[in-house]
Amino acid sequence: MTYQYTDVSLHEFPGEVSLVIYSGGCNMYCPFCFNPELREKEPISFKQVKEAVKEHRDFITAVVLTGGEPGFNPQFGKIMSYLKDTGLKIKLNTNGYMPERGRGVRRTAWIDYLHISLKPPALCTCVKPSVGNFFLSGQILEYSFVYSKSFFPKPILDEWVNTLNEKINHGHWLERWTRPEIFTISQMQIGHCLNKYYNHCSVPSRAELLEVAYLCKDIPSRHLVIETKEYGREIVWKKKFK
Amino acid sequence: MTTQKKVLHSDGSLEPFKPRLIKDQLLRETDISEEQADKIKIRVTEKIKKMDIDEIPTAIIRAEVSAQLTYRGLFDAEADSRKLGMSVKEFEDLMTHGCKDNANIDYTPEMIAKYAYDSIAKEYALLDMPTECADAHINGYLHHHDLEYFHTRPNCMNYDLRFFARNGLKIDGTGLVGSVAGAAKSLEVLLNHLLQAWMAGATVFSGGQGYINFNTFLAPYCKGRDYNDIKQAIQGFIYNCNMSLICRGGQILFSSIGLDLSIPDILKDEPAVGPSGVINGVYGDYQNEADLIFRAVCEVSNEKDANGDYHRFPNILFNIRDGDLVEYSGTCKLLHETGANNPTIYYVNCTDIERTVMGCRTALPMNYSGDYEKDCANTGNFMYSTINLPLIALEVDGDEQEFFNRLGDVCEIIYKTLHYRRECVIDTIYHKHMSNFLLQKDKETGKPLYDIDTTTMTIGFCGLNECLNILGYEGTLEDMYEGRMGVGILNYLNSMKDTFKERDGLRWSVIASPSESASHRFAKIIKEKYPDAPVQGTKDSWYLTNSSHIPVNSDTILFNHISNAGLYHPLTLGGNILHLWLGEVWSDAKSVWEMNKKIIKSGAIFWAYSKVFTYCPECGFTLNDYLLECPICGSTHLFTRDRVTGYYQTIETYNPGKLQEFKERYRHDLE
Repeated sequence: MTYQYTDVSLHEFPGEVSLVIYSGGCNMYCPFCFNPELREKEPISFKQVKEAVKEHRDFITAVVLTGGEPGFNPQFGKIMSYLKDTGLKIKLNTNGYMPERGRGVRRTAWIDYLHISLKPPALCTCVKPSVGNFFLSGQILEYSFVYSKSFFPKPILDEWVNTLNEKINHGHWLERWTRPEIFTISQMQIGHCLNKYYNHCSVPSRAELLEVAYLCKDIPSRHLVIETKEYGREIVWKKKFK
Repeated sequence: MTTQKKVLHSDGSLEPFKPRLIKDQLLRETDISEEQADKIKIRVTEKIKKMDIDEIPTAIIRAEVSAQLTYRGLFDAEADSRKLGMSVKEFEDLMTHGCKDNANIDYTPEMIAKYAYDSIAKEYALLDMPTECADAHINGYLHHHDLEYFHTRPNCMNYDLRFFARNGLKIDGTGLVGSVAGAAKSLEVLLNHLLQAWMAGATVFSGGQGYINFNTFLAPYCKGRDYNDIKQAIQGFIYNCNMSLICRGGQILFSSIGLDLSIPDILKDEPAVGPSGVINGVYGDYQNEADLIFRAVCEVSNEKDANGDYHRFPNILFNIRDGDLVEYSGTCKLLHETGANNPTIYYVNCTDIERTVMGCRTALPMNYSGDYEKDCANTGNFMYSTINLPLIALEVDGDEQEFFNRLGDVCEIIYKTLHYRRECVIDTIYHKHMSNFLLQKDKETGKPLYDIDTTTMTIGFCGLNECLNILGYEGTLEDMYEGRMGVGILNYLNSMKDTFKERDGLRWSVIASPSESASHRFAKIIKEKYPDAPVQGTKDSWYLTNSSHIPVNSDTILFNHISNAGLYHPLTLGGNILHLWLGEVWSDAKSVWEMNKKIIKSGAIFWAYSKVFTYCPECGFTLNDYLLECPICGSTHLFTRDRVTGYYQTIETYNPGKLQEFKERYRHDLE
């Protein structure tokens, strides 16, 4: 295996057999981060991406670039440009805090699926800011401006993910100008969180996630999804709450 | 003063000790001369008279006689007169702790009966078969599977259910013991017959049983029926399979069914057997009904049992033919929606040639006579023996030419063993008429249900990976494409198979053996002889990598396992499996569809997405993950199940080698 942090997924990009590439390093400090070792790794190099894709080329239909924060990778542009040339579908998992990266992506319509992980400002610190605004409403504002799908030259699937734990259940963070295709409330994973305190939190149950989903019912997304380890991804129809 | 000695028989009776009886018994049981028998009689009598007990158990007299025969070099006579079975301590252990050899057998009184019988029959098989065949097994060059049934039963059978649809069922083959059923008039009754046929089959086969083209052949029985009724009938059948404790130690019915995504071309114009065994159109007319059965099986399988646990039997095998995966709709969509997160199902590649496969991986491709009904239906594997490849490699000390010579010798022993067993089983079935179930005849053609001549005689192997390492090929199978030594070894086994086929005209094949217990036994023997030999596992839990697989702990990319299968599956047409050890808890149905298209293209024949799953009997929660605590009710009393080589078993029932393999298994996981 060329790079330790790659693997194949039948889950990350629905409908595709995807190669998931984890790029080391991150611009944020989220205490509930469940891949803390990745923060300490060097970002994956362009060469390593190329080798990994080549090795898997015959079987995959998509590449998922995640991390860490892929935008933090100094070779981000080069990697994206290469991935586009392969003709594979591309999913980008990002915290959205490096919107200058997003601008490039938007301009060239290189991605097919954008996955933005929302960061609650009270907990997550932008340790290596590039734009410097780590207030959530600011993050949302940046997102909606930079990543909003109406700006993309081709239609993309975008998903906004709220990783929930017992301290974070504020569906009303989201301002009315966010219009993701999918809004997902995802269960926090404990075990080896960045901040060890979080390993002692109780994992929110499906019922708790449903409560948050209720709070989020007014978010103008097309689908509202809850994601738990126990039951997988479930679409919660908003009309159910009305 | 000496009192008259008495002999204590195993039934508790006592009778006076008569030296004459020792001689009589020796002359009756062995070929030794009268003079030799006299000498032994005198010597044993002297010893017995000196003993300080009055009631002498027959076992002690036998032991004395055995010692005398051995002392005189009369080894054959010793073997002939030996009493088979286990010691008192062994039997007590069996009664107290049971036996973990077969995960489908629970600790019940039936289990005791089976293993007590097994200890006799296994010992007898090894004593009775030609010495070199037994020696090869005992010394670990070979593993003869199912020794306990060596003399009496063939291995497995994949039935064509039309036989019972046309003829009804005689569970004893004659009607002498059980009632005789005529051709079923409804789906429900036919399904009952099919289940009873399996139960009867379990008394005459040593391995698994299956039904081919299950939904296609049942389709005519669904004409005009309501879907809910069909589903209810299928649900009953699947539950019954999992709720039937049968013979062979009270095990669950080891069974599989093959489902067709579309009616196979080969059956489209075949006359369709409908209710009462009456022909009604052709199978091509029944695609909609076949789809209803397909849907019912998928739904019942996904709904799990009343406790929330997966049904493990019958193993459900989906036969994929050309064009079946082109569009993500209909049965293709249903299959992947079922298969994405239900780890218990299997996929069969039928694009290159028609084949039927059973859950134990035995495959019956249409390449013997070219006649589907002869090659793929109402037949199965007769027997296979597994070769310990690494041991042979160790003994030749890197000399490849010698390696192939030795391999050839071992194949010849397999030839001899299988032929010997074949004679025994032919005697059982056709002369002693012990398995009349197999001889019931079709009322029109007069052909019997089972024909031993179409069954496969099979060469199996274990530990190709370790064998290559020992022969000096660096790394594991995934690095081996340049060397091609692995392919060379399998080509050699295939050439032996062809030689045998030419020699006796029988249906020889090569299988990537499912060596559930053999891999542990082989590795232990290797470590005793060669302590530095590279095998997998740790002390007390050594094991060999199964067949031609990549070692389970290799972190090679997932697709190398697929390429590996693409390379070796076409060389093991007698049976094989590709396990995709996925660590992901959830998979997307459409992604699995994309993946299956790639696997078909690679040339792999039989595969399963093997995820470990944990089931909580307290609250009925099941998750495709290894859990120590139930996330729903917090219970720690959980069952974890995983495939070792073939089908799902609870890990608590694993032998040490299997357990080690489970622990070391590398799962393709993102978390």
